[in-house]
Amino acid sequence: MCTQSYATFEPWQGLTSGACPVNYCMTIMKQAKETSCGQCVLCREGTWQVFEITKSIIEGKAESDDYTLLTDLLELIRDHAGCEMASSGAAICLEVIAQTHDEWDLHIRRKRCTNLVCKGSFTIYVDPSTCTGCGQCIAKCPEGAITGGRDLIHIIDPVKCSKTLACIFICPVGAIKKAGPLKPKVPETLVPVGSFGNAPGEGDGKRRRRRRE
Amino acid sequence: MSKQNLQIDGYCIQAEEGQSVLQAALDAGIYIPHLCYHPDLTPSGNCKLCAVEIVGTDQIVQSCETLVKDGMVINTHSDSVKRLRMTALELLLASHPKDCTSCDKYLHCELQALLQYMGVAHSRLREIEKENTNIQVSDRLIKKEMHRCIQCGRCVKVCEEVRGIGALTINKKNGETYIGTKDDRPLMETDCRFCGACVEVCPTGAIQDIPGIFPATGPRQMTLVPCKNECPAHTDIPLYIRLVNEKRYSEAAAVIREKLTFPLSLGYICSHVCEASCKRSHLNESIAIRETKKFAIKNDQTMSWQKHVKRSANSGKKVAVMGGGAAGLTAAYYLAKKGHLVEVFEKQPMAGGMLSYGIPKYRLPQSVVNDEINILLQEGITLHTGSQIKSIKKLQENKFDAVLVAVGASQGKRPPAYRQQWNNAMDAVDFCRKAIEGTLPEMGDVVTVYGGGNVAFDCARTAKKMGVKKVRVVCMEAREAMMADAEEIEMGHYEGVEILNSQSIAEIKDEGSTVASIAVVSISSFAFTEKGLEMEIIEGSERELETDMLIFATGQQPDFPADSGVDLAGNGTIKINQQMMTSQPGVFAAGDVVYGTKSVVEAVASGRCAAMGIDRYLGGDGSIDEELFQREKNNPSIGTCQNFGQLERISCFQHQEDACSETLRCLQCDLRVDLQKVKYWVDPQFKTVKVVSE
Repeated sequence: MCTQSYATFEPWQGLTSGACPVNYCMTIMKQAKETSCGQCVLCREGTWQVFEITKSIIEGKAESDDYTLLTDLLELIRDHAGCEMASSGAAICLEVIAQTHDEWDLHIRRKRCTNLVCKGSFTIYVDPSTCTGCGQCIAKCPEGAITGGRDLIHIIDPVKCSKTLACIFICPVGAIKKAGPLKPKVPETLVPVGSFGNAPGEGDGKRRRRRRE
Repeated sequence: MSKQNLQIDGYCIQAEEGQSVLQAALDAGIYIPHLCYHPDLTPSGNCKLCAVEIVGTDQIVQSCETLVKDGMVINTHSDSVKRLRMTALELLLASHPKDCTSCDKYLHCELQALLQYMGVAHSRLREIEKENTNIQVSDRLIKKEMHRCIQCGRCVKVCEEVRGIGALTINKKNGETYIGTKDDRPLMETDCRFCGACVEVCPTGAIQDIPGIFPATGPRQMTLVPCKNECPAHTDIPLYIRLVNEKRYSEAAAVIREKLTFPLSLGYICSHVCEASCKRSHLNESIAIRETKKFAIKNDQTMSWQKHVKRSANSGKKVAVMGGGAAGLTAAYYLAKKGHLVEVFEKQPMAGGMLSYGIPKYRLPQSVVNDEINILLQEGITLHTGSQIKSIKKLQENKFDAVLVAVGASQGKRPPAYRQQWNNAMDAVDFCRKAIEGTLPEMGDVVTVYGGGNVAFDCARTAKKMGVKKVRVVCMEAREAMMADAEEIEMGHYEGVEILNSQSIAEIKDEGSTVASIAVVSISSFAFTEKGLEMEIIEGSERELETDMLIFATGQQPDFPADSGVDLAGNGTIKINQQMMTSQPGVFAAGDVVYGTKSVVEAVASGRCAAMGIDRYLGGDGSIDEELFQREKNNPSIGTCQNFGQLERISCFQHQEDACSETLRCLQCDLRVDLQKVKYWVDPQFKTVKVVSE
């Protein structure tokens, strides 16, 4: 039997809190996998497997039958794992999954995350109307993905960006934002602060793409 | 213990109270897959493969952990059981390498067998790459391929529960568990005693023996215990080592005497192939097995073995043994105990063969040999010394029902260049015998011995001890390839014997009937091929060595007349069949005369075989096995011992403490054999179910 002390899992705050259920389950399973004493196969390998699957969903690399596989694994862990830690973790995940079925479907089939938590579902951009050109984000970015100069609207290179979100937290004016499937219009070259107007088509990224007829 | 009746998959079977469902099923011939379960270990239900459903409760349990209850109804393959079991195996395989064929355990792997049984073809799961698999590395005895580890935990359990050591643990690093050691130290620096239990229970190729430590073929209980396996007489070496460690010398002596006549002589001079094959020799140095044997026999106060000797009733049959050496006397001893009347005919004034006339007294005192011969003679053997048999036929006419030829290989091999008229050149057999008899001629100031084996050193050291100023050994082998025991070479060197390696005699120069000098050349290599001796001579290396005496220690051969009526092989040895019988019915042969010159222990083993063959021929059962020490159950828990891996060999015991320290170094390979083998699903045991009728 498992001898490890139980991990305490953060409770699920609901979609409205801005959290993502896939990311939440991944975090729970990562914690379970790292707490595992390594004896029982369902705890040691099972939580790891669920972690890997949720991670690939988050990265936009989901496979079509991942939902069934996940619930199957989680049920087995919940019912048969040798310890309270793993089985309670699995039970929590299963509850969240049941509550947020549509969100999982959206992640797996359309590679999208409503709250833009999952890295595969968003890009980061500098809102040209808010940026003050202070340069703090440039220094903070570990990938060197942000270009700009004093009083110039900064630009994030989406290829270099690894979505550490460091820039979002450092920006004193909240000019750095996540964008969903609809990409906002941003300057292609460095232009002075205040010179890029609110052109039509700019959005917050959460608007749905028009369906093809 | 009361019997419990239960039903598994519709079969009514009976189980013992206290048994697990899995044990009960396996015993009854019903296979339930299992992996972390091992019959010698506490079950833990971790692998989930032995899951079964208790019908009526919808409960799925691990059958290894669930005790049988009367009236229980079990389903071993309901849909939900299969779902759990299959997923568990898939999970185990997610991080396991797919390249089965590149693994040394291929076709001997429990995991592979389970895969075949369950039919897992392809997995739905993500492949997982583990990071901590390179922490544990191989050493000289144990090969680790931890990327093959499925963390069933059996190695950890066997080390802790069965051996009481706990060298292996489940460790964690960067949130990933793995099988390791305390502080990830190499096994040499842990409490590991290299018993091999972890290797034995590992179901995959993760923990294996380093190839070459054990012979690849042969029965497991022999090959896993190399010392016992390699000993020609298969002495139970690990057991007597353990008994000496417990200071139970009489018991140890009894174990030794089960297989060996002349045990004390062997304690002095055995060629100890056991030590060469000792598993510990791969770690640092082999156990001093020969010294342990000598110590046990010398300290046998009670001679308790004598109480257990098995003696058969008089058979009324008569056996003649030609040759009173180790082989002949051994056969005579066992034949006498089988109830036959045995007479031994020895041509020399003393019995013992090479023990008395070949091995110098400084290595083996004559009193030791005499005492051991007397022990054998006590079984009622008639010994005729100074009595050479001229005709086998005559023996048979004299109402001997069987004859054993054990006359040894008493003729020294001499090179073709040898001249009969030389008065200062002789072969090693003659030299040793004459030295013992005290009939050696004056040796002069310089003695040259040609040969690189133990006999060469016997001659050289004898000459040196008799006061010869300059003694040299000339041999074709390089120093490290010499046939002689390392300690003989060392002692010779210490006593001042000069050793000339990689030299061959090119010419022997004589002055009339006296050898004056030899011309030697250096050689870079040599081999005995079909064409004879071939060697590469280093040009210009020839030099002349003056000598007052030249001794050829270049091997021995049998001296058995070709017209004796038994078929001989080309090299003069006697041809025998598996029962040790020659071409002549009722005439057997054993010892050097059969295989050319080997060792005393080989002669003892050969003598035993001959006794069995002869006994069978005379209508007996051919069994000479006896248990002179009643076996106790081995204690599998060996516990820890400080710096075990580093303990150094003590070759010579001065006190009891030395014997204890040295025997403590033993890896106790035999304990591994006591561990049970896991039965695969293809085992014949699972062909039919043992059902009980209601």
